[in-house]
Amino acid sequence: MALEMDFRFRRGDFSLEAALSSREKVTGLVGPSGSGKTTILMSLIGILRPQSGYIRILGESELFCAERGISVPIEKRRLGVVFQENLLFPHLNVMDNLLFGYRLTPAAQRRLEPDEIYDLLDLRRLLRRGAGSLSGGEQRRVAIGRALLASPSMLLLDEPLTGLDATLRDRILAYLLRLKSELSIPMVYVSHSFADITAICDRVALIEVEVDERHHKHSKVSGLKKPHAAFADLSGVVRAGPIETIIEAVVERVDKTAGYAQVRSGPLELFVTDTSGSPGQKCFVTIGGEDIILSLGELPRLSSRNVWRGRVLDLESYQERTIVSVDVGRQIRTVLTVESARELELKPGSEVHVIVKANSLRAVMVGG
Amino acid sequence: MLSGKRWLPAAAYTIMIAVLVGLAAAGCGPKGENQQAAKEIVVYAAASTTEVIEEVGKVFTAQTGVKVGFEFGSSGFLARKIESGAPTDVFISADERWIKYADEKNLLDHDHLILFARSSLVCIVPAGSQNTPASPQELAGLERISVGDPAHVPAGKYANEALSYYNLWDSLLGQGKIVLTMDVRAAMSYVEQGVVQAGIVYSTDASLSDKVKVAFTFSDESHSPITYHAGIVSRTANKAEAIEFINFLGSEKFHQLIVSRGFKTP
Amino acid sequence: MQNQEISAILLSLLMGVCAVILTIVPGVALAWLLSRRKFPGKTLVETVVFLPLVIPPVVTGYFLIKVFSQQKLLGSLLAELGIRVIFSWTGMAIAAAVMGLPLLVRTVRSAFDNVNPKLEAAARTLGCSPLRTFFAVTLPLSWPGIVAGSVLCFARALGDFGATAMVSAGTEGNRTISLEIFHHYQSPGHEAEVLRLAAISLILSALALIASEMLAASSKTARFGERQGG
Repeated sequence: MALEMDFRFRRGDFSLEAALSSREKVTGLVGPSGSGKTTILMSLIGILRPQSGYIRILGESELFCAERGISVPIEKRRLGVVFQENLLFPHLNVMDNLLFGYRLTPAAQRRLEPDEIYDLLDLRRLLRRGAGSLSGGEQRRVAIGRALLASPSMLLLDEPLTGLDATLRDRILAYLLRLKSELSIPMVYVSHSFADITAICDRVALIEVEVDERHHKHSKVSGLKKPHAAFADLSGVVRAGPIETIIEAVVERVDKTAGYAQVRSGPLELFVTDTSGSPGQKCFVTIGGEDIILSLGELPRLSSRNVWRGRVLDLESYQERTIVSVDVGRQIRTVLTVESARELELKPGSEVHVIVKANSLRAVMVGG
Repeated sequence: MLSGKRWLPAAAYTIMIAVLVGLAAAGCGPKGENQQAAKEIVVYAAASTTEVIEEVGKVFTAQTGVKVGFEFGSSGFLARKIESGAPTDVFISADERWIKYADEKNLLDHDHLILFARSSLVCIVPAGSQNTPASPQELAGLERISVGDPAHVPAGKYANEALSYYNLWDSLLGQGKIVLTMDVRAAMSYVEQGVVQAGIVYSTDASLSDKVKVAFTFSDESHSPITYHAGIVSRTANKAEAIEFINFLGSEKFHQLIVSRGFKTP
Repeated sequence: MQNQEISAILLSLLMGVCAVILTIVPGVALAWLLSRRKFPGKTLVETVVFLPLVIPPVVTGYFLIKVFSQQKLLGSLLAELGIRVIFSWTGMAIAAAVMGLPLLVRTVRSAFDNVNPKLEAAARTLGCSPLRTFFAVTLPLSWPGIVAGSVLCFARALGDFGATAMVSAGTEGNRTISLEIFHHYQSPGHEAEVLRLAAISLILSALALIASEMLAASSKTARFGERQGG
């Protein structure tokens, strides 16, 4: 599937040019508040109608073409939307909310079944609850499930992690990553937070805003790049936010008395302090780039249990710091000052040890 | 007790109720204080006498200097108002029934009752109507006939009597052809507007409007005599002037006046 | 109590019910239009709909007579079909509906205003056509308002005097409670009837209000609270 769009929208003082062509699993759109992210989403959904251009989903249909006067009605576009405000129907319980779109989808077009989604998003024990009685995180999961159960050809997410506290953010992100790995539905992820975007998106497009002398705002969507590559363009757009790496892992062993759990992601073994999981359970581990220490040469005796050997892949300079990507069995990004990177004489291929305290790793158990 | 701003709604309600009670109280009680002694009298008169009595009023004022105020309506309703204590000096009814009613309730000065005119009952149709009934029986062929409410409009009572005399009332009522109005002039107005095909009013009413024409006259034997009575309200504060007014209604000059307008002398 | 009083009460109730039946669909549709759409002439439509609220009811009655008079086009067309409006129950029901409509529209519109239009957009993205969205989302969420508006319409129609008086034949069987009260009021010696009917009128209106409050409250808890086994 590919999303192809090239349209122009104008209203009052605001004008937007959005050109994008993406075949990625998860495409990100980053821009500051007021840059037109919502406008782009609403145009994709069909609530707003651009003045010119087209929007297509290759392999599916043309959603909009100004020239030929085509504008497919909202209910026929088959785009799942997770709104920032969730917009669950207050007069229905969770199950009726979830099945709302499912019931409207002809059986032949259904590609996802309720049971799968209930399990994927841990919704079973919520089914009978009223929509208004849910917590923020629960509402967000129901909103995601509801959009998925309509078997959309693409899922649009509007700031799904914004406004959530740190723990909740991790949890929802974990669910999103799970969706990404287990379902084949492509996603478009719109946010003002680069950190959120890089955690999950394969490629990212930036929305740049210019204000001219007459106070007209003009937004433009620039080309699609890998998140790292988009860094350089960032300073004019949004703050990069904390540099994090998120790794999917499986719990191997839990030692409650000692207060740690051992999880494995491929060749990489990590120690985390979250002991709520059980062996075999999936989890996501977030590693903050600022929490990592790099070491060259012989290792002294260390208190940390997370000591990994790896090879430097890449160095990028960004906002007076250097971001070093290291392959330790999984690719991890660390943040160093420019001096430190220079003093260590790091370059691609350098052999290093990556050290991080178990305490600094944030683990989110998924499922069960 | 009531803390913070909570007293505000309670105060508002209290003020509102006080105002309403005050207004109601002001509505009760006699209004007489506004009338200056001996300079104005009030006459409650049957609707069908509107033009005649207004003219009488002008002549009376010219002769005596006493101003005359009027209220016209159905005689029954006027009697009821007088019973409720309405401030008036003279009562004119198009029906003996209501004069008797008021008299029996001691609302009128028994010594000064007079019968001052008579009239006849007619059926009218819109001036341009092609469908003119020539007799009461032909009323059955029409859709709607306006008649005063017999419960309190004398013309309605007479109409009721007349149509019953010809055995038409029950059938016309049963077929939904009767429209009751609150006074005789309303019945005529409906005919003028054409919302009904015919109406039953006094001959004197019919002659006032060029938008209606008389279809036929009901014979005198089909209804009780249409008699106009006048009386002085016992409560009056202007007895002398009221007596003068009543006397005028019995005068030769007045007889000329009413005859010229189509009434008959008593 | 005499037969004519009983028939007046029944007729009033009938007029109230007819008013709701006649106004509910156009009223809800109008309320939705006024709430959700901008269009040229919107202010004019609003004014016309709400006019009967502020002009003297007899003026409304007068306009009704002029519109439906058999001498005019509409009246004669209806007469061909055997429908008589003026001086019949039909006319009285129309008068009652016209007087009640503004109250219904105003209440329902306010209810629609309180339904987040984004919820409707969300339903559309899930494959719900605009019509279906109305019945699946908008209507259930505004139901208490619709009920309240209907009851207000009913109560207003029940109590109308001016417009109804103009189109009523005035005979027994054609008088609502208000007309019956006025009829007895004009006839000396009928105090008892007036008092009785006035009391009944008060009770009916109070009952209508209480019913409306109860209905609105119960439908709210049923919807927004937790549903067991739902």
